[in-house]
Amino acid sequence: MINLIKKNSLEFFNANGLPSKKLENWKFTSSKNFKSFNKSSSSIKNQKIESDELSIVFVNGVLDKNSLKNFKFSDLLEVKNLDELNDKELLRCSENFLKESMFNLGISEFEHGSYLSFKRNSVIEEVINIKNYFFENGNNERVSSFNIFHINEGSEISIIEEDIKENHSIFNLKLNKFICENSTIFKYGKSFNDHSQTYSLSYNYYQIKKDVVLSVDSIITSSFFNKEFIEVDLNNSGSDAKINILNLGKDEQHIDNNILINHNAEHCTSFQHVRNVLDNKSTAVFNGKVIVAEGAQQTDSNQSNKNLLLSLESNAFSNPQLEIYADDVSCGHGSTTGALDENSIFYLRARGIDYSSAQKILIKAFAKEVIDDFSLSSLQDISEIALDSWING
Amino acid sequence: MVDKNQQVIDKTLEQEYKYGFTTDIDQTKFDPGLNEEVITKLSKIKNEPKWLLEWRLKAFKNWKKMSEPTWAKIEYEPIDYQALSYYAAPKQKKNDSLDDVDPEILETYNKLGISLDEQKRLEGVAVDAVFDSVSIATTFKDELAKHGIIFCSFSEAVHDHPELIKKYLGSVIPATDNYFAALNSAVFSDGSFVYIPKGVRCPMELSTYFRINATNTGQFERTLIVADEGSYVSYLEGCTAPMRDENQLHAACVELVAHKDATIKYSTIQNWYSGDKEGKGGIYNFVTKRGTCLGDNSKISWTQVETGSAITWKYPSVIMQGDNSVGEFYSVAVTKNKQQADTGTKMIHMGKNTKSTIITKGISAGEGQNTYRGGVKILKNAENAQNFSQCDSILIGDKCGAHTFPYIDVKNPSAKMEHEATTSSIGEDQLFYCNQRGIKLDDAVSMIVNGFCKEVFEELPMEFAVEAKQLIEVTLENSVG
Repeated sequence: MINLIKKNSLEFFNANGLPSKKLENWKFTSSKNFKSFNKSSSSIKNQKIESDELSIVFVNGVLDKNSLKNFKFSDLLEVKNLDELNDKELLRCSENFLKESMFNLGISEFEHGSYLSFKRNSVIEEVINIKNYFFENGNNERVSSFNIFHINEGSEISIIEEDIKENHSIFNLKLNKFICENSTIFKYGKSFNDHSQTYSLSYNYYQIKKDVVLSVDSIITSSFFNKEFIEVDLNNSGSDAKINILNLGKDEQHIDNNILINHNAEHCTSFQHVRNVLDNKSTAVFNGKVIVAEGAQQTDSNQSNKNLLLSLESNAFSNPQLEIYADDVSCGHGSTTGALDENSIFYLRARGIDYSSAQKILIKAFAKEVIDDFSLSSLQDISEIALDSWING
Repeated sequence: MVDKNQQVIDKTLEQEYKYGFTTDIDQTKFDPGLNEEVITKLSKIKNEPKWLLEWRLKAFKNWKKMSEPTWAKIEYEPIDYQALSYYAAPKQKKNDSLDDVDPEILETYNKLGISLDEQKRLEGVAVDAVFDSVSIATTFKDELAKHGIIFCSFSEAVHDHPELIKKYLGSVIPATDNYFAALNSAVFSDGSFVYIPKGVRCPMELSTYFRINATNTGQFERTLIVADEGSYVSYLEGCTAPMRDENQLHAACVELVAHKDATIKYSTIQNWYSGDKEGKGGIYNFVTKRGTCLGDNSKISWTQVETGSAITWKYPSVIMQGDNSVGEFYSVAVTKNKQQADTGTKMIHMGKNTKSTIITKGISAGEGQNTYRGGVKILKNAENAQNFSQCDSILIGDKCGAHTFPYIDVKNPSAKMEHEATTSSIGEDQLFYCNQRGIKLDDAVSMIVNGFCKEVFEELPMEFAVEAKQLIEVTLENSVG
């Protein structure tokens, strides 16, 4: 099954090549540097990894089964290799991703993908850490991975994901699928805070059933190139999806958030909140879209993208989109871009705060509004520390 | 309640198009087809200078290389460009006085409520009437000439003011700009030309009235307005077409040039025939409109009320080159039955302290699809640029759609950019509130929709505002969301 999918994907990639700027999703993001990366050659052995009873470790995108031995909740977790899966529905990914050539490249290249399924009614209060270790044999390697997370009925799971990389240039092509069954609560947080020259391109597909509470929180403080696709399918009524993203860009960083939320059923709510703080020559792209299908009445959806430009050379491209085919809905979006407000700086200076401190206070206030919305309190703590060191560093 | 809603919605959508009559007159019409010969023949009939013919042929050459744009959110049967006739005109030649105009045509304009008879006009609006491909009459010409204002048909301007045409034609919309603009550049038949000299405030509203009458023709007119230093002009445009089963193509170009301290206000009420309930017939409206604020402190303001056309593809834009220049875009777009509108604007900030405002109101009913597509670009040197956009949509009925695609690119940190959009149906609570106070359902809807559009209507000149308000009322009478 998986081999057939891989074969089709490889054919698709070979026919289409790297994405060009003519594609809507790649209009402001160049793929020209992707060429300099080659597929990673062999698996890595004997590297030192740290894990504790709350962590699940992935090494170059492959689940480290040893780490599960210590895992406190291993009895609630069922693990399979993707090769063992024959269920088409479990493997199915978003139609839109299948049209993406980089997604197809990832599918064709990944080795040893895992299927992690949390059993019914697993309520885990502690936050599970997913640690992604990346090691490499040489420079300029592309590491592709594909993993599926299945949250079964009645479960409550919180996960924080972090990447741990050596200071090398690596291209990380990460594909994930999340299935949330009826009446689940799934909180997913990400903190990318490495200083290496890494490229990260990820495709995250969330399949949401009935009465689900989903939250996706993410903070990126330094990653050379980061493009993330998020697609959420709200297929049954009563679900709620919240996405909060804070990106802090410096130097020549490129940050791109591509979010699509499909309201396919009635009585669902969705909320996107993306803030970018951009210094030096950094660039941020926001491509958000909400599609409310015919019959998805009583939808409540909101998109907000705010960009704070701190330097003359920073760029922000914002493209919040709404496509609505149902009438009894309430949808809105807002986008603002601008520099720090001079009046606010003046106000603070008039109270004896020096110029640079005043700036820092305002940047922090701007960024903290997103952090306060994060649903994982431990991620809030991590984020505040990262924010402080970004502002002062 | 649901049944009742359905009834009133159905009733609304059955509203007839009152301008759908045709006029029987003798006319000259080209055989269908498009090639260099047709363009040469067209140019010859109009007795055009050689440079203009060359310009047309060059545009045609480019057009052949281009392909029809597909990015817009509209669906339509492919247009067979060879099946269209590229020139249709009443047999009579250009008229020196209104007495020479075919009475049938005058009657047509009277029926449309546009009186070309200067004596009878009280409102003080000068009109250039374009019937199919040619300009029939221009009123108040002498009066305007006293101020040095040139207001005439495009063909006349080519002969009488070749230097101005040569200088400004294609300066805002190059012949190679896009598929429909290139087609228009190759085959445009007539249109209006306005020149306001330095420091003159145009004493009356100028207006063009477009009417498609002939079958199987495309209408390709071109409007060029130049406002010289410190001048002001307000320009109105209106359009109607007869009810026909086939789709007709309208691909116009409008170019505006505002020099230092000049202001141009351009208002449109577009009410082309929109097709019947099943979506049969109607005008395909592919229009390129663009203005350049060339000088400092200049201002261009677009206001549009779009209620007609089966397909609307239209993005009036402003390029703010001069420092402190201002661009504005106010729009109300209504789609019902199977109408599709993909409309919006593009604001390009180049100069310092430039400011743009975008306010759009979309109303979708029946199976109509209404799309706002806008672009705001703040370029590197546009210090302290400001933009405010607000795009609201109302949905009436569960089969229609409203979409918003704003593109916002900011390359200067001193810019202030704000965009807001909301989409909703007419609130039950709003209707209930009105009902409770003895206001009938229909009146309440009309009141709420008019209130919703008020910000845009306020920008229209008086005469147009009344017409626009009535148009919306007629279009949406009896609708309940």
